Amino acid sequence: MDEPASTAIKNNEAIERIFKGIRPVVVALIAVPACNMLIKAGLKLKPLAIAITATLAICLLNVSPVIVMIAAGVIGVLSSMYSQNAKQQ
Amino acid sequence: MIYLELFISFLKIGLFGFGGGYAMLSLIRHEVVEVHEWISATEFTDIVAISQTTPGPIAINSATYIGYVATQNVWGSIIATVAVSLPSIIIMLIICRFFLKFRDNKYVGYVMSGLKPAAIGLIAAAAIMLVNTATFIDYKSISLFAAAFIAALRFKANPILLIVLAGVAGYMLY
Repeated sequence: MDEPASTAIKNNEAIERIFKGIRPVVVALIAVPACNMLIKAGLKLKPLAIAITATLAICLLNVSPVIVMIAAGVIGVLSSMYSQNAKQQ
Repeated sequence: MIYLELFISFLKIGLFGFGGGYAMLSLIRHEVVEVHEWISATEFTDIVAISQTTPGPIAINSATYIGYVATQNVWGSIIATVAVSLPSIIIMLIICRFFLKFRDNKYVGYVMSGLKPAAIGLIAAAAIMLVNTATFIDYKSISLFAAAFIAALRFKANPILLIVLAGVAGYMLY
């Protein structure tokens, strides 16, 4: 009886079965907004390239998401300035 | 000093969490599962599940939970929750103060043109990193994933309803 309530809940066999069902659904519930946002962004080259590069950097190269966000901000500024310049010329 | 580490970690999560709760999942995961190992990857999945069924933003809910688990103390919860909200409070105060100046600044637009798609990438990464042997045990897990994915994407099903149904399915199937 002296184990904390959270441990008692976690070790419950019924709860474990429930969570086995929930876990894959959580993955789907995170994947869906990513898909929706990508569709909403219009599937253009620049946003698509940044999104995919960010995903790969985190998943494969284990880059900190903080670094990814800083780099994305810098790339946003540089690429926008470049396209502004191209337009003016 | 665990309280200081907790504070700095969640301050970082709050500061770089552009793109909302789902984008923050990648940051939270990186800090608490990989860098500090306060919780396991499976525990992280469970926290996300709990956060989606309880009221309030995922970042706040997970900060409160992880703060407690890391320190075994309510102060851990409080410190992590304050730290994760602090950057947005400060940034929003600044933006409120100088809103008109910032709104039309072209450089803000330039930065956002990079941050918005990167946030989508962070969300996708959060989903991909949750795919492991603890979340996908067998073909039943894959079927549940596919059913939920289609229901949410195609039919815009309510996430809470889907989690409740998934729990019922899990109880009956396993």
